[in-house]
Amino acid sequence: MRKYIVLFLVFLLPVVGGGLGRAAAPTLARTHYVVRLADQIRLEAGDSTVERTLESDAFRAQAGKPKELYAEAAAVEKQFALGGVILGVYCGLVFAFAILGLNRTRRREIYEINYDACLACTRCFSACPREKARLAELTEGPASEEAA
Amino acid sequence: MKFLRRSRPWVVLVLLLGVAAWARAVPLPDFDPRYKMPTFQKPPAGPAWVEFLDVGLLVVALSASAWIALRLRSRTWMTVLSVACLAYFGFYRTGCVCPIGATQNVTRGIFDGTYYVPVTVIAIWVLPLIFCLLAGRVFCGGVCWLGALQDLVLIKPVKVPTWLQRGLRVLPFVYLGLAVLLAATGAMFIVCRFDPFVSFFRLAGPFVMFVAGGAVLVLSTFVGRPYCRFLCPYGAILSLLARVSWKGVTITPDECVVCRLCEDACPFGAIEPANVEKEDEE
Repeated sequence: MRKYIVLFLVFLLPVVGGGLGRAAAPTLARTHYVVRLADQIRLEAGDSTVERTLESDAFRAQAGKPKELYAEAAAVEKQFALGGVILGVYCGLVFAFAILGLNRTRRREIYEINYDACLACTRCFSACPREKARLAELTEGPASEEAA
Repeated sequence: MKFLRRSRPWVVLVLLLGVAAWARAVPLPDFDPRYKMPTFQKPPAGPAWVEFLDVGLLVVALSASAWIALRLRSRTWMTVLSVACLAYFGFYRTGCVCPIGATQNVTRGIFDGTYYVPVTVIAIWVLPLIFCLLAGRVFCGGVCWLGALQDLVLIKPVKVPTWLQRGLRVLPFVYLGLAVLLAATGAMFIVCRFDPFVSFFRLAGPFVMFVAGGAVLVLSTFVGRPYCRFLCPYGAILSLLARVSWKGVTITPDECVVCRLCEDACPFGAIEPANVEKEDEE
């Protein structure tokens, strides 16, 4: 039963992720300066009491055309609509693989390094008694019983 | 001597926080209202050889890190290499260009034909990946200056519970996806904008960045490399490649005696204990 629930989640998560990504796309699009500027110009055009910004003043000073700006912003929003879905599906897959990983247990006879978490800092070498013995043998020669 | 070794992380932390405070203490210039802004001038590009020198030094550092991790197997030399890389790539070259941020340059270059990505930036992005395929995450271990900074202030490592660690390991992949989307659409380079340590390297930046960097450093005093493990998007790519690396670090080339000392020594929870006997007992 648990296996089926996990499998269901694995297939469901990318779908849910895609939906959430599509819903978040307009918010994500506002990280783009063109979309932010278009929103500001639209606001200022609709309400004269809205405080102007440096960006909107610069846009007017350069004789920018609002229609062209709106078209450019719409193109960016379109990119984000697709990108948001892809990001959502990708995130869903990431979570799905994480859940699959939680349900998988590897049999280990000895202590092993988890390579995706290991940062190769070499701390474990200095703690290992076998490693210390090996290094001592390398530097000081073979073990005492052999020498005897 | 022991006291000096123990107090080293505290000294580094106090120094960094002092630098942050000093950078904020410098008053901002007070402009006269009649001040005329000078005409915009594009600064001349730096000499190209410096970029190639960076690439060359990165190759040397990666090779040294691989050699230390796989052959020399010395923590002391790995620390020396980390500090050297932190000094050069971090403080001298002000943390830029770095492979972590270069992910966005490469993405932008792929999605926007008009965006030029210098060959040195591509090399800086690709080289740690190639070394990872050959020898594991040797870039993280001995070269990454962000990691070195966090490692230097690690005073008393606390074990992050396995369930939490596994859950948080998802974040770098999500951050990577977001960074790729924002870079591909030309919105922003989010990884560079929210790099917690770049303000320390440049001794300049918004106050929020100093606070964020300071917070990550304080967290790093008892959680091993929190940025590297739970946020770094480049680390996400490296973690995937490390699984299929040709050679990787091994706890001991000899027979393991299951003493669990390595598990206690690892501040990153990267050592997985033996579980066969436990299962047999059950």
